[in-house]
Amino acid sequence: MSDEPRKMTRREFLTECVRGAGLLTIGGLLGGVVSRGRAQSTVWQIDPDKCTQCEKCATACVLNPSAVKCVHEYAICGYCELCFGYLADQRPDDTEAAENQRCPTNAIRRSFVEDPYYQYVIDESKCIGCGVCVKGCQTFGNGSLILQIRHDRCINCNQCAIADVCPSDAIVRVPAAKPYLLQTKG
Amino acid sequence: MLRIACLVLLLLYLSVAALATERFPSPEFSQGYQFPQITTPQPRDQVLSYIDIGVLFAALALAAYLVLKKRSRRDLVVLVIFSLLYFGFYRHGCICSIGAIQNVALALWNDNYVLPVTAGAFFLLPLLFALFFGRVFCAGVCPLGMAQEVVLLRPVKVPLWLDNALGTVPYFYLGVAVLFAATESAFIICQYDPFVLFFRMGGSVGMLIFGVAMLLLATVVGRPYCRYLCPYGVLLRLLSPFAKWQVKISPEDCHACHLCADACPYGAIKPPTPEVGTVSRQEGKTRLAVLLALLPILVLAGAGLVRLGSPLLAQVHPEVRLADRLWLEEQGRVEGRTEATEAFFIHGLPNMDAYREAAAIRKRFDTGSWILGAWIGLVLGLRIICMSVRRHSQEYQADPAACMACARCYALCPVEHARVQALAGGQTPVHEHADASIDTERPQ
Amino acid sequence: MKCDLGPASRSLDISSAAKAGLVVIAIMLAAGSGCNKLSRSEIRSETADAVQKQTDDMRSLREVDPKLVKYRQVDVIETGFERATGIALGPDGTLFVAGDNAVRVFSPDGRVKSELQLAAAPYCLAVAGDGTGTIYVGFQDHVEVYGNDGQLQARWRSLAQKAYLTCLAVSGEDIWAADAGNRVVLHYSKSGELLGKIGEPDESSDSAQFIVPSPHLDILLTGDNLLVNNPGCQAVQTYTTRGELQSSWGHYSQNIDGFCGCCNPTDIAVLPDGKIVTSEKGLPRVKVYSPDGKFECVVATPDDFSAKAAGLDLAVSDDGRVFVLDPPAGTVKVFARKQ
Repeated sequence: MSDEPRKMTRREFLTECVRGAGLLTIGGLLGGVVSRGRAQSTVWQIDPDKCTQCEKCATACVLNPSAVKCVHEYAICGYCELCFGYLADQRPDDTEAAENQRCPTNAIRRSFVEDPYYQYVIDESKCIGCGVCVKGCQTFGNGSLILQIRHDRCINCNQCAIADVCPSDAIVRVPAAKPYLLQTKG
Repeated sequence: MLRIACLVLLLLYLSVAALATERFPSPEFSQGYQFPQITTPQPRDQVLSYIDIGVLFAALALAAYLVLKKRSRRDLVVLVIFSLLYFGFYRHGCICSIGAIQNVALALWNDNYVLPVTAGAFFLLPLLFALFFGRVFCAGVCPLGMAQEVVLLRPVKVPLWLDNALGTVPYFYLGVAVLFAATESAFIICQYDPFVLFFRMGGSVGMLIFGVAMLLLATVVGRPYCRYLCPYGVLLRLLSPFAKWQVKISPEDCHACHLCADACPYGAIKPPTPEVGTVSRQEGKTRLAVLLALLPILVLAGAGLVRLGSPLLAQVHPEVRLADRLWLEEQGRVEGRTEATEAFFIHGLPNMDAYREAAAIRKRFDTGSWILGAWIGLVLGLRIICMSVRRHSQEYQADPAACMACARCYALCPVEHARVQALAGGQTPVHEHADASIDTERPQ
Repeated sequence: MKCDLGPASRSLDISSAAKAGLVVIAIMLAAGSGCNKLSRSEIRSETADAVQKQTDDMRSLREVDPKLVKYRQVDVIETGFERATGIALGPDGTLFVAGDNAVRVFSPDGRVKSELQLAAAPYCLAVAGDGTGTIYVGFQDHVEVYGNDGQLQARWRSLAQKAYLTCLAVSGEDIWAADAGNRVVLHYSKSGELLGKIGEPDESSDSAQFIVPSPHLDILLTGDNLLVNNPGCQAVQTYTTRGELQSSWGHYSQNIDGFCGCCNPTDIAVLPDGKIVTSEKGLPRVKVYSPDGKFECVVATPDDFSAKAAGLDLAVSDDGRVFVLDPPAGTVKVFARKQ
């Protein structure tokens, strides 16, 4: 019993040492992180070059409907009358009836610009991000329709649930200051 | 999947910019047609993520004050609910300190990933607080802990043997999670987070079942995720025994009434040890020596065994799975294509590219599995040593490693009662009375 | 003892009640999120069916009736280019391929004979048929003329800002160039003097108008007439050299007899017997039509080309073999009529 206080002191000393070492490590790491403060946070985005429109974006996102939407880059669009982002391959005729449209939620609106050009606008409130129109446009057209993660919807999960299932590794981290991978200036 | 391509993307921007200049021109519209503007809603402001760090710091400081200074469970519950709402439902459970382990591991082993400040701060601040105040992060900040804390109904004691056995799982989980994050394979902590789908109000059916099961379990077992899974808890567990200020149940002398130990839902309060052990000092020394000699054997055995499983572990990486599948298809041993090989085919790259990349990843897994195996062996060995070494104590003490600093025990300690009453009424404590009545209850 | 335990046990009762409430809330949350999940799966199963149908449609379109394929592949030439853009055949059967920053010349047996280094990426090329071996190389906005020794002979004036040359054709003293960017066909003299333009926006409605959503505009000289594809109209059109429309044929169809997608054909060539060879993108296929536009047979099906093949460039040899360039793959496939 008489050596109890000395034992405690030794123990306390060791504790202090360990805490000091831990503090130094954490302080150093913290300093390292803060000094790299310019290395700002990242967000998730779809690289259109890698995307194969597998339709998983519509179902794998933790949000419903998905944070992925179709974006139309008008400057690349050919303004075709026969738009294969808009029209289904197998269709009764070429009218704007729902059964002729490729989009499963009829989220693309067509409007006449001038002969023979038509404009196509995505209604984001209807778009579910399945990429069916993107596939049509990439296959037959100019590829002006692309899938992008919309950052007003994306909650930026630490690990993107779509990235987990993407077959072509198309979901990448991009700097938060440049959150879109468009081919034109947006 | 975790293709971290900030540098690559920079190049991509440049090439896109170059492409944009020689892009095929749009039709010439005669009536001055204007291209509709492409909207690009911006992500959450960077400033808000700094505010998150501030809130984290404030919540940690407040938790430390409420637990260690004010010793008030009631006030802590307010903080618990705030943290659940803020870090859980408002911030959708992302980013959290537990998941940040993976960001740190990724940044440590991959030069092309720069750790975001938020992830770094969320990883380090709770550890820093643990060095001074113990696991105050678990007490009132962690949204996952809070989700379990608020559903705890009638805790049952987990048998010591089971507790010890399950208690090793977090160490393995941590090791595996770091391996997968460092090899860019997967963020398994995030993928298998049982509660985050409640915060986001969405997720897969499998995870929903897991989450509900965990919540139901949490009604009778105190914080099952924190105690038997949480990999961040491992780090806190290692640091908090060195905390400067720790939870002290009885403000003065402990009367050894064991009320606190009964009240602790996490089995973190250790009873006093008898003066005389069951084994002689000599016998104990011999046993310790044997166990110490066993430790390097366990470490080597673990390293060797897990290294054998390296090819299996590597299958978690999607590139490795892709390469294996491509090989089978090339050899004509399987029919048809998977979605991944179809996508690979569309990009028109030679199969050799995939094989080369997979080989590099496998190599990293080989190294990583050595380390993981050694870690598992070390944990097991040390666990056995800890179990066989008795620490002398004459009072009921919270084990700082296991204590979640929930402040439940204070209210049940008769000595604390006396102190609080004295504070409230300004009277002299009814110390002796409590002492006498409890003494009769003390187990022999 | 009772006195001491009293407050503690009472507080326990209150807290258990509160906790029971919280558990109920948690279970409600769990159930709520479960319902949310279920409702999602309902919407998703509906749309998933529609999505699946579209995908199946697209797959079935790639299939071609084997009975219609009257040609077989007889040769493959690896050009070695990252991205090839155009091919041309010399009078002696020499193959010229433009790609990256060069023009590579292949002898009839497929070996590289020579290579012409260029300062910029070539977009198209043509070889004079008069035996001089002069090579005309089209860049984005101008034409350069090279002798058969590889020496630069002339660099013609740059065109308007939006210029995007996609095709060159040589006929005796005249050079024709297709500018897909400005949707016009340009008529040059051998010395590079601009003689005329076809397809400029005009007040009169009967003048030529090319609808070119993507950079695929091709020209071909047949006797006194000019054959031009008009991809936005799914048509092949015949013009006089002054730009008067003589005839037009072709129709849209995803089926084999028509031109698929929004903007096809992308390229045309003429066989020794006067029949027209066409190539398409989207469903990359090469077909033969009679001079008046009747579908005859298939040369190559989508399965013959790389997944991203678009802008298949065509050339026909004197013995009727069809040379098809697959630009992203950088290969030239040679097809001959089955016996």
